[in-house]
Amino acid sequence: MLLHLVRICWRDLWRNRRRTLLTGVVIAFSVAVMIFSIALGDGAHLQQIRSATDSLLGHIQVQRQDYLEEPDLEKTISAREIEQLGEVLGGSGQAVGWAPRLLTGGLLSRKVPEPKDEDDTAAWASMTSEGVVVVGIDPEAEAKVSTLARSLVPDDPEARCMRGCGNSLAMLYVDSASCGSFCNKAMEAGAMVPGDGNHEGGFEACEEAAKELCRNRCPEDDPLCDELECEEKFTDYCAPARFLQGQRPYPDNLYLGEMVLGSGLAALLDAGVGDRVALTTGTNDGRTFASLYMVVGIIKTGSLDINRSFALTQREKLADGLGMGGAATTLVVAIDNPERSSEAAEALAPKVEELAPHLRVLPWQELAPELEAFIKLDQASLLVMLVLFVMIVGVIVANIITMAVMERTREYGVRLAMGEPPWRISASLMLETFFMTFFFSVVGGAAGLGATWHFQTEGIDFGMGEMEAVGVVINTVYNTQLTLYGVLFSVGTVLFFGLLGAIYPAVRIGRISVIDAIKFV
Amino acid sequence: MLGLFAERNKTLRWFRAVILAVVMLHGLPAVAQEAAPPGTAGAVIDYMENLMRGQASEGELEMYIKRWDRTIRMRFWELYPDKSLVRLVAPAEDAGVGSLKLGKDLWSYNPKVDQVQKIPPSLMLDSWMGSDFTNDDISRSSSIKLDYDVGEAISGKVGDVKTWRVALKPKPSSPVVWEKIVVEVAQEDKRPLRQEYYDEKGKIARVMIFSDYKKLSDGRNYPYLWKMENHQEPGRYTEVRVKKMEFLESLPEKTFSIRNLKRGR
Repeated sequence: MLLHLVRICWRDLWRNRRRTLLTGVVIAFSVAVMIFSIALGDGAHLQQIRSATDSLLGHIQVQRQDYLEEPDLEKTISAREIEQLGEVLGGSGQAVGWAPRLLTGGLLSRKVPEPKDEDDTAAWASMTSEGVVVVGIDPEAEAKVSTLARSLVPDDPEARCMRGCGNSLAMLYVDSASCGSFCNKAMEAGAMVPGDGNHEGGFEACEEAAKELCRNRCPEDDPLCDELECEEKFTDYCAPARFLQGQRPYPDNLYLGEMVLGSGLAALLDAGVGDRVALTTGTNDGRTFASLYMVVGIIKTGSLDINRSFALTQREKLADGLGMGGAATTLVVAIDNPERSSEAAEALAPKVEELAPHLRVLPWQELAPELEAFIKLDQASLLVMLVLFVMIVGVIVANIITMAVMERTREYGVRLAMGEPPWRISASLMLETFFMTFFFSVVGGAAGLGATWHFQTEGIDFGMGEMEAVGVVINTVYNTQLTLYGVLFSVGTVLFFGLLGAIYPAVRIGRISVIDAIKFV
Repeated sequence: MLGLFAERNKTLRWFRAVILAVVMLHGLPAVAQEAAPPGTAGAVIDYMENLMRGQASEGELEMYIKRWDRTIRMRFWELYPDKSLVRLVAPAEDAGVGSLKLGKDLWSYNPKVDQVQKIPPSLMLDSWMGSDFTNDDISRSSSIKLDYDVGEAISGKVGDVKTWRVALKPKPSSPVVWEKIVVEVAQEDKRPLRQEYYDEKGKIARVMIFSDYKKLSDGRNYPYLWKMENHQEPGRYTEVRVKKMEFLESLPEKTFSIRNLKRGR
């Protein structure tokens, strides 16, 4: 009998196709829009978290116990501990990548030819120095935990060469014409390649071009001018950044390295790729460490702070200069899902603390509580919007179902007059509503899934590029994030309100006057 | 009615007691701390500036930094009010490092990279060479009176020695970092004993203690030992021992030049 009822209900649905389809379109559209909205909201939050954690913060950090409250070069993770922690993290099943970082502050200025008149303090005053945060990184490991490498402004080898050559004009009796000739020869020979190109083939060509440039350049009466030094300097300009290739730059010279500057910092110092900068900083035993760096790259992120204050260099070399032998101040860890950072940190903490009790594991929520508060506030406001949206959708669906049912009052009157029991009519009404709502929810769900999936891969660009909020960079290209709960919630909500809309007429059927129902138009 | 009167009487008694307490408390400092004769504060500051800085001076200092258990030696030259040059002579790895103050600008030189760098104002509070002195201290800023308003001198005591304590508050337009400095000198001969530095929260951040006084050739009773105690990091201090000190009428201007700063290599 039930099966019979089901068949009749399904048939009755399609007796008036127009009514069923019109009602169904509203249901399907509501489901699709809800699935997409929830996915967009989830994607936006994930994007905010990823933007913040991926640029610099990281999902989790391992640090000394009170390093976060009072950063100090004395509070380090030793090279041996880094190695041991790597094994722990590798075997934990939580971490997908980890990278040590060494942070210190210092004073940076561009190395330029000195004023001819050493007493011209106005000329000296024009050479700015800036306080910086120097971050020693291992580029290969860093690529697994942050997007810093992606923020590198593309290298322009020719500009790099000309700039570097130009800096030597005063020092090595080189003129701009010969700079141009040298750089052209080097470029033609393929000696100068951007970033990670294969340098090997063109190196000899670069050496030849440098030899030619420097030959007979030094006047006899200048004992400080050295042709060999000139050749070495210009051969250097051909080299891509060893630091960014994961190599140790200038391995034989502790006081010479390579550095990547934030774009704002570079602008303040009027420094570009190919220039040299001098860094003065304090070591962890109170000494002063001064070193020169070749600028090998410029990074531009959406954070004014990072661009204005940060300089990256090779970690191990920096640690050696500071007398810290391969140490780091933090170990940044990346996991699969940054939303689960707290749980992952809790799981990692016992293993880390067993290895080194003076270390602690901090999720990004503890590293940047203001960011967490910002995201929670945003989530709360979106939740309010979602509730309102659900209510609107619910009212619309319930209303349309009610109207669709009420339209059939005459039909119900006839059926009652023919002796059909009211309960059976009510049951068939509810069943029909269930079938219709469910069927079109599935249709709407498929449409919603399709649209969501498309934007999960392509993303929606809100056209604001990267913006800074609570000190972190938020990328405003949002990818929707499909979740099972989002789909089930959307279908369930529409199903619920659809049935709700049918309850009133279903209950009322038992009380209507057959005559009035038959007369209903 | 009687009850009401009694209640009023009790309130009046309480009120009188409060007034009396306030008057007594207010009066107490006047009893415990003796006010100095007018002009004492100004005289104290003038004397101290003249004693510690003079018109010009040069000498050698040895600085011991407790935190790192490190000793550095330096030579210095100073021309009142705002020129000074400090050059490290030991240990060997730091020899040649120098700091030059010209007016409001502070320059540093490091021979390892042969680079002269101007210290931006944002880093003036940074530690100088890892010590408890800041870049601002080493630059030996301009006359105290230019940057600070001098308060009244009140009496105090350091051990058995009666002292005058003079509070200095920064002038509104002065680019100084301390909320207050209190200078404490001996009443008998105005020799400086202590200098207290207060942060923006009014808490004492550092205390400079002067001791080991010696008579210089020009008759000054000069402290040869300065100990800067770091009250924000208990246990830390930096001691400066004067090895050589000579006060002069003047020094050549070319002493305070970037050329001379770089000569240290």
